Amino acid sequence: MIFKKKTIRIVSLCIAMILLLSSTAFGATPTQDNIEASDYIAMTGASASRTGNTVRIDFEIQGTSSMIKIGSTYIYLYSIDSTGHEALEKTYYYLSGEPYASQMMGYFTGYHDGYVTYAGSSGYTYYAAVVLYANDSTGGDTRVRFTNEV
Amino acid sequence: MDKCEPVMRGSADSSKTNLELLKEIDELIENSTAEELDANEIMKRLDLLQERAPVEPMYSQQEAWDRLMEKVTDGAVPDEPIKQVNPRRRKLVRIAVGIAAAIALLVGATLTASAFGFNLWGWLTRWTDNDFRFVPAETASTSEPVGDEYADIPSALAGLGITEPLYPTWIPEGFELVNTSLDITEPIRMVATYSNGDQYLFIRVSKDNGASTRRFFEKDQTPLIEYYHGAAVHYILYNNDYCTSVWHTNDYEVYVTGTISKESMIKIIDSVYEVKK
Repeated sequence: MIFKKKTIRIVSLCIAMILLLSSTAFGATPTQDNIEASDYIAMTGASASRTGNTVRIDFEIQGTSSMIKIGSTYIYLYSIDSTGHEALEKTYYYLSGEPYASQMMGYFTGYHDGYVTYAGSSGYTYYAAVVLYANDSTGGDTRVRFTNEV
Repeated sequence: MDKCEPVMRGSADSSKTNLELLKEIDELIENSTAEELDANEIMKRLDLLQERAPVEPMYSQQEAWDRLMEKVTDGAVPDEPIKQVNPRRRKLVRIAVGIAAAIALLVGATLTASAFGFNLWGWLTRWTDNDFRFVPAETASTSEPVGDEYADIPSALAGLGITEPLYPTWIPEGFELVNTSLDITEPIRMVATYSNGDQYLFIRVSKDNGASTRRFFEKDQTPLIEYYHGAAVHYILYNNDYCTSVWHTNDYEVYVTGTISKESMIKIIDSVYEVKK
């Protein structure tokens, strides 16, 4: 399915907002602070690199304290073809049971980093939207970070 | 759960798939309050997952392919030499220590902690009311990978021949080092965790490859402070109850965050340079 880049980013942000607003699924209690800063997240980051056609998406998240869960819940990998059209290539989910999934979430730690790789194709560029999440016993917070294009 | 109940090593639990175990871990976390959280049950499932497929610090498609090649060639030498996979235990140690710490906190027992740059002018900064980040003025170069592991960040910096003043020698009273995470493959990332009861202080040292443009530091609307010491500008920002500082020294980025005062943060920053005088 082909989408415009802007549409995909808007959809990704909507997904993130839905996750944030419906964070009862994660046992989280969003507060006003989520809008301005975070009581749970101190730093987030995501970047993409490429070696040949192997695309690597790196992410990291620093909690404000030791978190019960901290890491990435979803990574949406998008491709852009030579005409500029974009498509969602793959969704990585931390409870997928796939080998990469064990790298996505950390437990009982204040910092977590990891990466996933994807066998891309020549003629395409790639980027990802990474959903980062942290929670402790009082609640949690979510951020979405877009990587560079590779 | 009744403490006398048999531990989860029976056939019923062993028959569960990895995904089922992961989902059970998630449910145990999500459906429990901090007081109810049964870390033992989580540990059992993590142990079982670990027994089945030891968690590698980083999942590598290439390494997975190499292992597959090793299997299908039945030990025969393929066209290209099979890379020897170097088991990296750093993250396992970190997870184990983290879990141990959580258990200790949860049961109220005493935690016995395990022993455990950039060209300044080449970078611009961007911040809004909500976050802060660095933006490169030029493309960062890549470096050769490094190997080996060290006990803590200062020894790793020394062992890697990094002479820049990066790590503080003063830590606020009451904070003790509880965990160190070292990833010294490029780009180097090292994180030290200090705790003082339920308060935490994190110090992160990294050699950057340009990825810092994609790192966002949470901040509230308190005006950002620029603190100058030596040739570096140290940006001090607030994230609700947490004070954060981040700066670049040559190719390295240092990031400190915790439940500390601005005065303590400045003292931490000052101590970075004291030993190098």
